[in-house]
Amino acid sequence: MSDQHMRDFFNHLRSASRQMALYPEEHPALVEVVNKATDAANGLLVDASEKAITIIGDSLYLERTILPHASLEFNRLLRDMQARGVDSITLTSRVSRGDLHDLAAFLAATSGDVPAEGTIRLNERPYSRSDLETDTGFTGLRRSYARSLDVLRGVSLALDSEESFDLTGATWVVEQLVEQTLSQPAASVLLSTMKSHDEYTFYHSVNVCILAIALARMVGLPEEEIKLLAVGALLHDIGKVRVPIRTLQWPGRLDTEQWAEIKLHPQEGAAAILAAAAPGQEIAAVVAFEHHARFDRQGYPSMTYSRPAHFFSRLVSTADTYDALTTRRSYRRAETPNRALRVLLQGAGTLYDPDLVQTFIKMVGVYPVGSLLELDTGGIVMVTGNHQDAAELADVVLVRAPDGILLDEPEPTTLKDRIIVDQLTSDRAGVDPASLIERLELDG
Amino acid sequence: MTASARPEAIVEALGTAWTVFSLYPDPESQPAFRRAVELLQEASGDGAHLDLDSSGFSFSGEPVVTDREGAERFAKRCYLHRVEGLAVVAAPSPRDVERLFAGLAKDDATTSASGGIEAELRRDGVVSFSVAQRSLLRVVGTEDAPDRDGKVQQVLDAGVDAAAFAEALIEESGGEPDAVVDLFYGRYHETLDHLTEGDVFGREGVVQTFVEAFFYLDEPAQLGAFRRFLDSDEVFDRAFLDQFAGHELAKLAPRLDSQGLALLLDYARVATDQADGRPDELLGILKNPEALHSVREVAAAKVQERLGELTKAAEESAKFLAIVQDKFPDPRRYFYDSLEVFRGLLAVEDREDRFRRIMRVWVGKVSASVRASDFRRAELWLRSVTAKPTYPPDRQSDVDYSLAQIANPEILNHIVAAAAEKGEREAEKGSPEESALRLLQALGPRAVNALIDLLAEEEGRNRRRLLVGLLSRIAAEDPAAIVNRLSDDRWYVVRNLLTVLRETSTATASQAVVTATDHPDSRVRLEALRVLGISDSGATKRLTKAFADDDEKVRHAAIGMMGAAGTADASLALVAALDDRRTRHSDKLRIVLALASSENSSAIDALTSLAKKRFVLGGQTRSLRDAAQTALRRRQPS
Ligand SMILES: [Fe+2]
Ligand SMILES: [Fe+2]
Repeated sequence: MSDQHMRDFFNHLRSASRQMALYPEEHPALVEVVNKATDAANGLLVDASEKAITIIGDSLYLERTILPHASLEFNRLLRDMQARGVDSITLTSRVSRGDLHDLAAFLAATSGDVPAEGTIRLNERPYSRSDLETDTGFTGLRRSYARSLDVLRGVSLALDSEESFDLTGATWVVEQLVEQTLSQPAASVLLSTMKSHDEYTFYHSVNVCILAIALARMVGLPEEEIKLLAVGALLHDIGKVRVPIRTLQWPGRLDTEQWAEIKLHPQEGAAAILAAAAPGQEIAAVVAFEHHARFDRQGYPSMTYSRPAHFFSRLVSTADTYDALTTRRSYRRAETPNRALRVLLQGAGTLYDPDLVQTFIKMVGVYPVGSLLELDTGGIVMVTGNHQDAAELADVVLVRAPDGILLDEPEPTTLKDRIIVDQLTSDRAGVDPASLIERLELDG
Repeated sequence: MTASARPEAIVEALGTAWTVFSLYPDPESQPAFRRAVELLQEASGDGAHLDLDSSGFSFSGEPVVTDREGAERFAKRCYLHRVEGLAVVAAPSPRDVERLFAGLAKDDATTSASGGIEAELRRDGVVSFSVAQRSLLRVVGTEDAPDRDGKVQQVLDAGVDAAAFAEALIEESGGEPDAVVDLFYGRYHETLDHLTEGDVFGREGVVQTFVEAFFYLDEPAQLGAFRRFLDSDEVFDRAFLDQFAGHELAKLAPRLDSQGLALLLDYARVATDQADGRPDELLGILKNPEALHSVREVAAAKVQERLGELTKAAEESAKFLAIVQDKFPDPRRYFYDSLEVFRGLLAVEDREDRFRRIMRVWVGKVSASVRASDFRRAELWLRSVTAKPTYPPDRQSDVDYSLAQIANPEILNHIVAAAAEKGEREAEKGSPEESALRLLQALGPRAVNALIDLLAEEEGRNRRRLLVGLLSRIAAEDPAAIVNRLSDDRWYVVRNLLTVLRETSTATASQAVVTATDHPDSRVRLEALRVLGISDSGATKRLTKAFADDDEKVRHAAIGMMGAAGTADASLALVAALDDRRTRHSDKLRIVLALASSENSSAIDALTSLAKKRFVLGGQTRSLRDAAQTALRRRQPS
């Protein structure tokens, strides 16, 4: 998993670069983090003597492979790098500690010297833009995704330290997400398969936001309304900031006390959003408060007013369940998209608004974009286009050959005369659908 | 609670809830029941799978030991129903728990006739519990089960796990939807063909197994299979359809093509002839295939209406969308919806520190709206807490404190300015001025002191009038709030307050004004006398006392008022003052004028005798006599 190694490397590089500005050269804290970054860099080189990290736009590539998670997670670091004029870093076996130190200092702008020993070389650019970027159309989508994560990080930080915040940032990113989701629905839904273990809630929130936007568009909600709804969707779980992290990441079933902590997140979120909302933005708090209320009002927290859960809340709750189910959590395996749809169907009329469930299924199809299907040949295809029923299922690409080898470039293929034998989670298939966006021809 | 303690807790909660359910007609009203449901909700996370045998519940092979009687009774009840597994798969609502119990409370024959507890739960829309029951036939089988074909028995055994059965069918067919449909439909009939004649339980079980498995098929296969059954008039195909609950049919309907939908409608129409049957009663009727034809229609009795709606929707997805769009919220309601949520928040927030935080948010909202001159919004925010309060009574002091925070001079000044804007005219309904007025009325009682201070500094006529009016209304309710401020050392403040008190007529208020007649500042004394007027019984005494006031204006006012009173008492008091040596000469002249304005005989007598005095010594006395003569002359013409 190069993405994971890359994230380690960037994590340590980021800390090293930060600490450059804080500590003297030989400070143990600095020494330690530089060592770690050096180890991580060499971890990337276990299978090759040289590797290039290229930054194009908001995307990070290791060799020719885009690293979607790292691109999103280190979006700010990427921008800092670009500000220093760095657009590629070539690591050579073995990366020396001294060069790593030089690199961190250069990025921190505490020094103007590039790495001296040549085990790290800057701006060598073995790959050009045209080598890597097949479709610039998705850069914007990915950038919005990254910015949404940033906004959520910022809001959480503010909430955590009981500082005030406002919804300007959320409104701003949501406008971009709405625009891009409306113009590139399939790509957006594909991007919404992005998951993160460490930042589960943030990624989940952006995914729910994208799915909610797409669903709202499907039912024909006016764009201005979609934007309001989307702010609510993006912030629906923001109250989880107040849930202890050990509870959120508890690797098993929750006990009474932990569950009580979790159950507070809708009201915590609503209170925080209300505090932050300018006139006209309050409806986001309704979404946060009611997203676990259930269609029959039997969920939590208990509703003391008589109206049914708000249409926006019902809509977000549908998208919320779908994304939560398709995510692997520490205590539960991920469901395939198809299974998740069935859960929605089962709950239609009691847990979820039946009309919205129906529309949602209509929207994503029986096999939503990003679904990984195992064929009778043993190959695995990924669905790339929306469709109404399985018979229409036409837009698929082969991502794993029948012999089990993952393809570098997905190949358009057909399901004609093929039988779908199973639907796989990305874990089981060993494929990250979101990372393939740039290599596909999608709508928009 | 540790993970290993969970099964015990679940079993105990079920036991408690079951006991309450058995004892009370409305279990949900019992705290013990609600607590138990809460615990089940909390335990639901990943679905706790309990197994059951004659010795009680077990979890992962370990017996679940509890000494609660309720738990034991519940286990027995479950066992009676041949439950062999019970799982909480999602957070159950109280209603879900009641449905589960209602199933268990029925007799065994009834629930088996309707396809078992699990089937009943699904039909009721309950998905939070999963109940596995041993097949009826396996129990019966030991004694008098008919000799069954292997194929049939296989299906019946499989019925315990419909999901696995469906999966096996899908695997066998290769998974392609058409193939799945062929195999599903074919196997259904094949199995029924192998039934021994008279094996009604077997027939029941086979149908049920296939119906349950149906729900585990992929959607395309479901639709295909459903179409296949709809296309046919064959008795067992109809029997299959009859197993579907109304809402299940309704769910399938819009996904059918128009031809399929027409068939379904046809089926439903015939079915509704029979008025009051319930779909879940149909399995029992399967025992008598002849009766099927007339009764199978019952299945969709309650469905037709919904189907009707959905037909239209499905025939044209635009119409479906229109239905959804009909449910679009009205953007003009968003703010009100948000306020409702805020009120809901107050109701559910039982942590003191968090409640206070929410109160601070509230103070911020009202204040910000006022500062933005959005008085309508400010009023709505304010009322979201104060009107029909949702917060618990023991939070009253927090609310009071917050109201006091809101009612500060800066905010009040904004509101007063707005409320006075319209000046003389009445504020229009729904106008910001009206809202500002109501805000003032709501906040006023919390802000008497601030309002008084505002009044003290205020020079605008409209605003003064508004403030006086507002304070008087407050004083009418709570005079003490105003009276307490009468000791203010700024004379003009006290005078303002007397003006305010004039508008009220409570005893406390008038007593306070009487006291003010002794105020060190003459301007206050003067105002107090004016406010009190001349109509009350103490007026004469009070005014007489004021004749001796150090301040001329006060004395003159008192004399003038006494004259205006015009009663005999008043005139006598004036005459007495006229005769009093201590009375200043200038005052005596005023008294003469006052007497002249009085319309009673003692006043006239006194004037007349003064005017007739022959021997007067001194210029002052003479001028008094002259004044009396002049006054009398003026009266003559009338
Ligand atoms: Fe949530
Ligand atoms: Fe969520």
